[in-house]
Amino acid sequence: MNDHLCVSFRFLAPWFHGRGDQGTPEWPPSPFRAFQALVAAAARAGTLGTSRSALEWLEALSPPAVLAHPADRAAVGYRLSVPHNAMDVVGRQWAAGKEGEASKHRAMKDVRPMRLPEEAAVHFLWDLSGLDPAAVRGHAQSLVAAAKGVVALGWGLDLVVGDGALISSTERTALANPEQGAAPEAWEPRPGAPLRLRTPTKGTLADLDRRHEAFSRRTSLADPTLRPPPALSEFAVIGYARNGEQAPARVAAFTLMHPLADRMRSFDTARQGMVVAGMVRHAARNVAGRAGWDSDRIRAVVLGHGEAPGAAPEATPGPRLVLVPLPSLEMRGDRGEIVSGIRRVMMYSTDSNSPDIDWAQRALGGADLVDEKTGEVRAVMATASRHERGFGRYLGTARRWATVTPVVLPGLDDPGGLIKRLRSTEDPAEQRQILARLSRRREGLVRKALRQAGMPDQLAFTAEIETRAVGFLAGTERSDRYSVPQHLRSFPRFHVRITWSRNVTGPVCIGRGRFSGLGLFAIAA
Amino acid sequence: MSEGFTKIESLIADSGDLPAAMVLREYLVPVEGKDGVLFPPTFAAAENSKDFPGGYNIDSLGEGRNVCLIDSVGSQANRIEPLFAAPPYNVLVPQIVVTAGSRKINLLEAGHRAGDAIVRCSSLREDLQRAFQALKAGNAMPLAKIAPTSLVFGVWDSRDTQAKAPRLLAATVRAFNVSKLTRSAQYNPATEYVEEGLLEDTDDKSALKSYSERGFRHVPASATHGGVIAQGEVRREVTLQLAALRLLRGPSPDDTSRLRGYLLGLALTAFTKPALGFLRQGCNLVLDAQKAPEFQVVYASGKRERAGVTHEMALDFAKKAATTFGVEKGREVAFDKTLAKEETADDKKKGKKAKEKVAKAAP
Repeated sequence: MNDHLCVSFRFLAPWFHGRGDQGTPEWPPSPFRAFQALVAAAARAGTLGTSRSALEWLEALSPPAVLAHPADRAAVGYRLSVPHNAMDVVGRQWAAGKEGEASKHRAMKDVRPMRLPEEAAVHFLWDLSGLDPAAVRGHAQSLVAAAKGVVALGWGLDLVVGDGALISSTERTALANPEQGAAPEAWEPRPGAPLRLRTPTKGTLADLDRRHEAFSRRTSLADPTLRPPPALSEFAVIGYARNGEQAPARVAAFTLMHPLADRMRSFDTARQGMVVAGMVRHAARNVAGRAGWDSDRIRAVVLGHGEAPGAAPEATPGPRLVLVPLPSLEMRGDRGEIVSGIRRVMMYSTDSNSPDIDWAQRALGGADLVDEKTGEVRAVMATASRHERGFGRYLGTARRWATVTPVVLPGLDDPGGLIKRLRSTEDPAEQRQILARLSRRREGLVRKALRQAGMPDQLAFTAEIETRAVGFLAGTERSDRYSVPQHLRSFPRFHVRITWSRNVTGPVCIGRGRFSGLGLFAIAA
Repeated sequence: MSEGFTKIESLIADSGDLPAAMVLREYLVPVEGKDGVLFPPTFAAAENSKDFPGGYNIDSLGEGRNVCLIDSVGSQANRIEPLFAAPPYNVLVPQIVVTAGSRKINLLEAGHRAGDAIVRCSSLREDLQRAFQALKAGNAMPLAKIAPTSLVFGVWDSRDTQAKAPRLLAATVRAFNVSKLTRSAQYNPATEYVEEGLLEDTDDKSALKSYSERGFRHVPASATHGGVIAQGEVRREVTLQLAALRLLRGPSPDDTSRLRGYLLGLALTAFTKPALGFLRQGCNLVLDAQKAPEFQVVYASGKRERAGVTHEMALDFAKKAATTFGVEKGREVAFDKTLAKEETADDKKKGKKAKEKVAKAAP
C-alpha cells in the first residue's frame, strides 16, 4: 500500500548554499524550503491555482521525515564582490563625461556552502497512513507535477532535479538502504532535538502568497522607495534528529565570574574541583530553599540523599541534579590544546525530562559560590548558553572521548591482590597475565559505571576502553592527584579513554564521583 | 545522443520520460602541462577574518585531499554570455547596446542582464517593463525577443517589476588536491635615487612610504600567493537545467514550442562551447587530451545515461531554431539620465574619501 508521499531532489553539483535561521548553513534542507520550492514551481508552471488545494493539504500534514546524504560544512568560505544593480548612477556619470565609479556599487557576499557527496539527494517523506486514498491520489498528482518542476533548492545556483511519487513502506525502506551507493541518513522529527528546521503549517501557503505580493511591490523605477516585504511567520520550527541519535541532554550552563572584576574565575581542576562542586551544591540548596522547595526535595534532588534524616546513607531513587565543574580546554601556543582550570559549570538531571534543569538555569544565574569555611564569595555563577565556547567539547557528538577528571571506579579493581603479586613476580609471562586480568577487571568496572550513568547496554558493552593513571589529554594530572570526597578515597580511580563504534552525544560523566564532576569526559580529538 | 532519444527537439516536449538535466564534465590542464602552476582567484577576507582570512578558496576534504575553486558560477556565466556578441554566435541573439556618453555597453555584458539599471534607464524601459510583466504572467516570449540570454543565465528585475527567471545554465571550474605555492619578488628601482642625489635622504616614515609608492626604493614582496599545482584533476562542470526550460511558455502551444527550441539552442550552444582557456593571468586552461569529456543526461528518477551533443550539432540546431523563432534586429539605444537614480549623499561621501586618499599619496 502506498502510504508515503516522497518528494525528492537530486543535486546536480555537490554543493548546497541554503541557510537556516541565523544565517548558518542548513543541512538537511528544511521541509519548509521544500514546500516553498513546490509552490514556486507550481507558480512558474502556471498551475498554482489548480495545485492550491493540494498544497494546503500538504502544509497541514505532520512534518515529514527526511532522508539526506550526509554533508559537511566547507572548511573555508570565500567572499564575492557582487554588483549592486546601480549602474544607472554610473551611467549618469558617463553621460556627463566623467569616468564613472562602477567599482563603488558593489556589495560583498560571504559564501560558505555545505559540501555534498557526488549525486547527493534529499527525500522528504510524508506519512499518509489513515488518510483517504482517493484524496491522497488526487493531491499527489498535483504535488508530483510540481516536484518535477523544481529546478533549484537553496540558492539559485543549487540546481536540482525534482521528482515525486507515492511509495510504500517497503519502497521507503529501500530508499533508506540503497543497494548501490552510500545510504542517506534518516532524520525524524523529535522534540528537543538541537537541529531545528522550519516546516510548513496551516497558513503557510497564504503567508507565502502575501509575501510574494509584497515582494512584487517592494520597489519600482516609478517609485524607488524600498518597501521590504514582511518576514514569513506562518511556519513551525521542529527539532530533527537522526534515527538512533541520542537525544541531547538538557543542561543548565553557567560561567564562573570573579565577584569583583569583569573576568572569569578559574579554579585548579585537580585540587579544587571538589570545592567548586561543593560550593555549587551549597548555592543550589540555598536557592532551592528560598524558592520554597521542601527539605525532602532538596535532600533528594540537590544533595542526592534518599534516606530519611539521621538514617544510614542511601542514594535517592528519583531524579537528582548532576553538578559538574567544567575544566577549560584551550590552545596554548606550541603546546597545543591542554586541559586547564575550571571556569564553567553545567548541571543536568538523571531524568532528562525533569523540569529541575529549566529551574536551575533560571534560578541559579547570579548565585554566589561561597567558601563555607571562610564565608568568602569565591565566584558568581553567570547564566551561559550550552552553545557557547567551553561547553561544546562536553556536549558535542563524537566516537572517542577521554577523561578530564579521573573516573572513580564503582568497585575494587584488585580484590584478589593482583598488584601485590605483580610486584613480587619476575616472570614476564606471569606479569603480562596479571596486567591483562587487571585491565579486564578495570574495563568491567568502567562498563558498570557506564550502565550506572544511564548509558544503554549496547553502548556500555561495545565500547573500546583504555584505562591508565596518566591522563589521555594534555594538561590532566595523574589520577591519584585529584581531590576526591572522603568516602571515595578507598576506590580506585583512573583516567579512561573510550572509543565507540558510533557517535555518542555528551555529557559523559561516569563513576562514583559523577555527581560532583569526577569521571567527566571531553571529546578526544 | 543516447538511444533514449534521437532528436534534440524532443527535449522541449512537456511529457514523456525526458531528461531533466544535462551535465558535462570537462577535464582541463594548464597550458604549461599537467604539473603547471595555475593561479586561482584571490578572494577578500570575510568580515570575521577567522572565518576566512582571504586568499585562495581551498577547502579540505580530509585525509589530505582538498578542492580549490578556480572559477565560480557567476564568473563562468560572465565569460560565457558575451560569446553571443561575436561571430558566429551574434546572429543568434539581438545585439542591444546602450550608449552613455562615450561608453557602449552590450546587454550581454550588463551585470544584471535585462534587469540591469543601465538598460532599464533607456528607451527600452517600457519594452522591458512589459516583457517582465508578461514573464510574471507566464509568457516569456517578449523577454526572449529582447534579451534571450537573460532567460538562459537567469535574471531578476530587482529595480522594477521584481520578475525572476531561474538560470538554465551553470558552470564552475575546480581543481582537486592542490599544493599551494608562494612566491617572492623584489622591485628594484631604475637607479639609486638617494645615492645619486636625486632625492633627499630622509628617515621620515611618510616620506619613505611615498618614495616606495612611486617606485623610488627597493621593495621586497615575500611569501605572497604563488598559485597552486593540482595533483588531482582540474574539472569544469556544466549543468543545463531542462526542467527549468520546460517551465517557460509562450501565449500559445506553437509559440511555446518555438520559444523553448530557441532557448534550448542558445543554452546548448553555450553548454557545448569549449571552455574559455584564459581565466586570468597565470591561469590558462585547455582540455586534457588524455581524458575525454563526460556528457550525461539526468532523469527525474536520478537515472543517468551517457549522451553526446557536439558544439557543431548545437550551433546548427540553434541557428535553425533562431530562424524559426525570429531574432529581433539589434538596437543601439541611448541611456536616459532623467530616468536614472541620482548619486546618493553616501556615494558622494565615499567618493570624496577615496579622492582625498589618492591626493594624500600624491607627491
